[in-house]
Amino acid sequence: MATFPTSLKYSATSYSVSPEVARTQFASGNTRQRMLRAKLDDMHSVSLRLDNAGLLALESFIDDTINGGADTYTGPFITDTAERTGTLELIDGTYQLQYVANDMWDCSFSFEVKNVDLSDHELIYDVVNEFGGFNFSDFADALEQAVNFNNL
Amino acid sequence: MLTLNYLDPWDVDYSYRDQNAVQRTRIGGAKKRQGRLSHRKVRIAQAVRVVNDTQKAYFEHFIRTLCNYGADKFIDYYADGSGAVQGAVRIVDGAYQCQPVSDDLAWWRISCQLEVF
Repeated sequence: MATFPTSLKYSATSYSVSPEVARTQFASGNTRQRMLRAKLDDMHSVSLRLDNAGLLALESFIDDTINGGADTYTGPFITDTAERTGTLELIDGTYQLQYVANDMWDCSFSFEVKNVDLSDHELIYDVVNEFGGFNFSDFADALEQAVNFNNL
Repeated sequence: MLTLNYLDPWDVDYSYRDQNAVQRTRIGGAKKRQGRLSHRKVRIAQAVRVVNDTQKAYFEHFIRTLCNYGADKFIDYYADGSGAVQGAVRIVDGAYQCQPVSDDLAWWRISCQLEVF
């Protein structure tokens, strides 16, 4: 699978989660939601500031390497402080370009991350519940005390 | 019903979108008739919560894995002009958006439409 050029870095990013949930509102005022099927494909919107060489690299990648944006590729996405890598798909093969100044372009596009891995999230959820909250400094203090006083 | 713990309350806007179960029927010509079908009311607010990346992971696991991708109701805190309230809520369509609010990507803004029960 093709890999997104490592020289290109996102300058802004956000993502949205739109699961396959059916919502029904009845005339009586009652509402109901049902999950239709599991879907772990999140949509990310990113912006990049590019010079002419960067723009050429991006257009060459989209037009030639991933078949006009139709093919999936391996690339970076951001959901926290660490940049992750996954299987991405440029939505509709579309991207927007705006000329900013000489040798400077703003580019934005949206892609879908296929089958997001939430196993880290589950681990964090379990740890937080075990320690009764997000105040890990309490835990660190307790651990320091236990180590210092040989009380593990 | 599951409870989402340890997170600061949602900030909900002051302009709830309330929808009563009222049916408006055209009865000929320009005449219309309205009748109340039930005492249920759908109350939806735009909600925002700023969390760090650990809290976001906690939230996403809760919503996506434990609440069937946001399809289910859950107990959570939300704060409007009258202070923090704990009650049953549901994310409309299970859809939410995440946007970083700090350059180091450590803090994120989660926004969604929240149905308040």
